[in-house]
Amino acid sequence: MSMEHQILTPEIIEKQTKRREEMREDILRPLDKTSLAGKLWIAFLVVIMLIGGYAYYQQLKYGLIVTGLRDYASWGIYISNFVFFVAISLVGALISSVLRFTNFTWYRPITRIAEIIAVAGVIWAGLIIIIDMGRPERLLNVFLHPRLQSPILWDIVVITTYLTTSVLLLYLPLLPGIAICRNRLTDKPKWQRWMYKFFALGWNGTELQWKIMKRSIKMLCIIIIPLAISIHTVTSWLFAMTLRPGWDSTNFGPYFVAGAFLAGTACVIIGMYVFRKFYHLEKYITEVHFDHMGKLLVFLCLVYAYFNLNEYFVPYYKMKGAEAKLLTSLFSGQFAGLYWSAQILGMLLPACLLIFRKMRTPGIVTFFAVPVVVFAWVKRYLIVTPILLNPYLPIQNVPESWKNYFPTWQEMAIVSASLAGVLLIITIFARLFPIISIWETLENEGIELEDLDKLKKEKV
Amino acid sequence: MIDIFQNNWLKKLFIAIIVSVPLGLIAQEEEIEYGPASMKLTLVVEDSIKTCKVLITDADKPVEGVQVRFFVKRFFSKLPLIANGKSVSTNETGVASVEFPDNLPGDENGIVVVTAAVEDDDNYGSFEATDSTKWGAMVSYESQEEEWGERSLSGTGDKVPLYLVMIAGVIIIIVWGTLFYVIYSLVKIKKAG
Repeated sequence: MSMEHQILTPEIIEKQTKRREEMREDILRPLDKTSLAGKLWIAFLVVIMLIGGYAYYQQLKYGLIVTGLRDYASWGIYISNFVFFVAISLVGALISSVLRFTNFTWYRPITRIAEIIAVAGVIWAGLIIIIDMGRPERLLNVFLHPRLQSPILWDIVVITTYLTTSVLLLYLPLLPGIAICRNRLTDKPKWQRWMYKFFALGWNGTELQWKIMKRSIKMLCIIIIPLAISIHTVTSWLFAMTLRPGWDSTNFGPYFVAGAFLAGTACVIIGMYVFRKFYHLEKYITEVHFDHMGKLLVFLCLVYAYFNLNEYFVPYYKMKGAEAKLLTSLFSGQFAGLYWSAQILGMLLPACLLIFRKMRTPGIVTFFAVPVVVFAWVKRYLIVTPILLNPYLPIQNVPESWKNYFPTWQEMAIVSASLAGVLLIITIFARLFPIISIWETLENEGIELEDLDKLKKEKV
Repeated sequence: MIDIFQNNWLKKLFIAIIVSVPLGLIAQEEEIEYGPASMKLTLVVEDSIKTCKVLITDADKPVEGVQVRFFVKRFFSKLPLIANGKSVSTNETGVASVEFPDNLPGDENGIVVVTAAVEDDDNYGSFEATDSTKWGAMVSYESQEEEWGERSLSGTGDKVPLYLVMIAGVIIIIVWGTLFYVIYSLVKIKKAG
């Protein structure tokens, strides 16, 4: 419901102003001080990152020999992690943009959670690609000697573009929130007050500022949809454009996009639950949100199941050559445990159980979102590694260690550090800025902050 | 027992069989001596068809039914001239032949090295003959360079197909144009503050 056609009587204005103040209090309260648990959490993430940093130092010093990567399994958990991060970054577009163009308004309190997950995901997606390189400085060659025919160049272009768009889509709706922080959080350290002042861009809620901001958001929302689809399609092409059993598929683009929407939605559900519980935001992130997100999760699980059916059943029916070997290793061989867990726990079980209304409570929806995220990561591992170990030309006359892949502690530490890095970005952001968009949530309740700002100025 | 044959002719036939069968068996048991076979590979053009022809003889007599495989030497290994490495059997004149394809590249002078091989034959074991001729398709580096110089998806970075440059260019200009406009909007927001 919009207030555009509602007459703002003094009573309504007073009621709305009171509601706005109440909301500002609720949302700024978590920014006041960091609890002991919060500090421990940050310390924990920093320690994981330090261990990862040491492992990366070893990798830089001795080369990729410290990893389990060899000639055949040349992509391991780094690239699985990259695909996972790209996947979760897609949710920013889904929540902010796709839902924005529908008539739904319920999503508004969770847009910022989705957008910060997207930004954190895409930042680390870019970094993990560099980490995967034995000679990271050679990344420059992609720019110095570009080859436009190469999907790797497309991927770099699309990731950079998507990161810029996601940051802008996070930043623009945040402007009124930063201005509130600038005006209210005056007891914060000097650097923090300077940061609020700098990033608020002199926001005073003038009519022109609101107009420019809303128009810019609309423009970003339009371009982010094809961008989001292309970032994951191009990532899938890195695989599909090589001639390998399991990757040589025309289904790969939509298959990746569907999986990304699912993984991202599950991440947002977990984020919603954590912020709702620890920031006491029950009034804003309600059971209705979990109900809707639960429904969305079921829908996306079913869509992804459909793409999985196409991806695995069609080659299974034919069982030709190297594909047969790969499918056997997935269905009943070395990777069967991971494969069936990913299909059942990461997709089918949540879809079957969350379809019931009674199951869509915050706790239960989150409970099922966790395996969806965990097995989304495992699924990426299954897309990358077993295929590399089952090439068209048989592996022969090579050292035994080349025939298998198992990540070393350095790889595990670096991947853990990257996951901690994503969580650290989200945590620090939520410690500094409002995690719920105040003006968008108020709009959801029928209160136009823009109108209130206008009235306030007229009064002055 | 021989008296049971009332007919004299039958009696004679019986005796002849009794005597000849063991003699025949003894004769069969005698080992046939196979001399070393000789193989002659000729690369001839018959009715404008390049043909690799092999003649296998044993003491100047043609040997029939020997399985022969034909190969062409490539950079790393031998390429079978018949698909899946199948063999050809020599006929009653001791000849086995196979057609040589027109499009197989040779070395820089167009020379190809053909090998005819008999492998593990029951009577003659393994042996082979090799010959070379100028049958290979000439690979012109100029034409190759010309081909590589064309704009294609498999070309080098500076040989991008123009349609790809245009499509990518238009997309990048539209998207980044929008992004720069939005970034410029931030400046306008600051000024409006």
